[in-house]
Amino acid sequence: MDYGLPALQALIEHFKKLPGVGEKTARRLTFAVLDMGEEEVTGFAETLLQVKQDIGFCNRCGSLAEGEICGVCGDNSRNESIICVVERPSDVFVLENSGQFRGRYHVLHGVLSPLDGVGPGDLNITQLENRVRDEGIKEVIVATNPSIEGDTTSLFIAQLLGKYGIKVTRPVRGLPLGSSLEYVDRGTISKALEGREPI
Amino acid sequence: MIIKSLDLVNFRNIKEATLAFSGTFNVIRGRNAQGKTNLLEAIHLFSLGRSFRTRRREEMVKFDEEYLFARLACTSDAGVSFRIEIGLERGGRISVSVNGKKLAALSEIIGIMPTVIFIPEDVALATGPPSERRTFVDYTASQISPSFLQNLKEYRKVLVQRNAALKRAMESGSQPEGITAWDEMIVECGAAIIEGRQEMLSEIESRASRLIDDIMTGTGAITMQYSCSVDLSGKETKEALREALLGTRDQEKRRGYTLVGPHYDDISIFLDDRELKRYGSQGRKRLASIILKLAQAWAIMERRAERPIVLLDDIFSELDDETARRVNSLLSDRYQSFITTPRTEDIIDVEAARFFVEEGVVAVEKE
Repeated sequence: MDYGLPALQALIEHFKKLPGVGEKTARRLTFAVLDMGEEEVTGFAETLLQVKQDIGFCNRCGSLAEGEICGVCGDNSRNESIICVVERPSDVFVLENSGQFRGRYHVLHGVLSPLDGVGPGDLNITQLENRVRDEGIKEVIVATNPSIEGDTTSLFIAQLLGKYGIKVTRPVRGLPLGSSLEYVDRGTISKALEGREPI
Repeated sequence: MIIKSLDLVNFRNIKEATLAFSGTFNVIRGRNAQGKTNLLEAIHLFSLGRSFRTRRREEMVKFDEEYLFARLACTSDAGVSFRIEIGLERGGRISVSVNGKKLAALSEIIGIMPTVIFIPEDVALATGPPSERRTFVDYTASQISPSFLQNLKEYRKVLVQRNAALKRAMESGSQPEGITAWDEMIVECGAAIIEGRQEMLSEIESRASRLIDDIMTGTGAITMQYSCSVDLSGKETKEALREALLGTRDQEKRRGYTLVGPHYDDISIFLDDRELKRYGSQGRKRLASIILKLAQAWAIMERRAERPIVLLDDIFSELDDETARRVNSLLSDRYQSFITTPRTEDIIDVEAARFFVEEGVVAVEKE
């Protein structure tokens, strides 16, 4: 749509590049920006730029970091002998939110998928092996997504790390908390039954 | 399961139909190419969410219309009523709702209304390629076990990925990357499929042998053998599969795809200890196929505690009257069935609802 307001139109187009944002939402966001004070907008714009300029990947675990090392890797109160392997940096935030895990992370930046041309060499796996060898790791939890590709990647890692004699584990696939059996899909139920545990 | 009613709008050549059915026999008469089989196709659509005739579901939309709508009301043997609605727009998605609630995935419809269908082409069960027999067993197992269906779906995805890894290795002349992990995925899903099929075969076999006594007195037993592409003797299925993959690795690297696994397996069917595929008249093959389908229905009924709907497309044209009569009495005792026939004389001597189809118009026939 042409409003005869090229700057406004450009901002709408920028917002539309974000996930989950369509024409209507982009327009709403744009008008919200117009309503902000100039100082606030300046702060917003500077933060956008700063995020891009300052945030890179942690040299150690591949998670997001401002500087060489991420907050988790730099935190000495963390359990140093246990690593949780995830697919994406965003997964780290999900796990951190649960507050349950006090070890360190390792981000693969993807999963094995020959169809998309992704092999072990395209993932952050060599670095994982180095860490297991050099850092005295006792357990690696592979928390890749429960998809065909995520499962295969977890098997690959288990096979690769087998020779170090450490524990390689995978979170149990189970029923979602607070749900009712009748609303859980059949695939989840059959996997949860396969992974049942004595009580 | 009993189907109470079916409403159709713009389904194939049927502009509109509102039908109420008998709980036992439903005979659909009409000359060739009038739309009899379209009714079976419509009913079957509610069982699997797809047509048994075409992969292109748009073909089910009436040729000069933009959408189709179908509604089916049925009651399970436990007394639960279902109202299933299917809408399909030309060039659009299929939408399915059960009791007014839209399904998130089309595959969730599988298992609600188990159905067994016999079409003339099903004689391929005895004579056709191995895929026909695998599909037959997989279909039966999927209707009974959700975890079998899950493994089947996963296996297909794993196979595509593993083949992609092998193909890339072949083209670049390098080692297939991550192949040991893909092997283990094949082993996990593949072993579950092989064992699930073997279990299902023995379920079908025992029932087929009892059915054959009822239908063709004096004929010997039907036996079935699972011929696995992997040597299973004396080993655990997983171990056997793992070894077979390792053994064909070099060959696979040259060919660029997976060479062993349940997707290569076959099932040998024997009648009187002779393999049906090689020996046996057309009539025997046809009859054996019908018996296997009836055994399938029976297995589903007992394992699911739910009577499947039986759809029979013109099966009596090649059966003699006595055999047809025996098949009929077997059906009427157990299932709600829908039978198409071009014959005008009555082939069914029990009470039935009768329909007459002419150029897409379905009429109820008076007794």
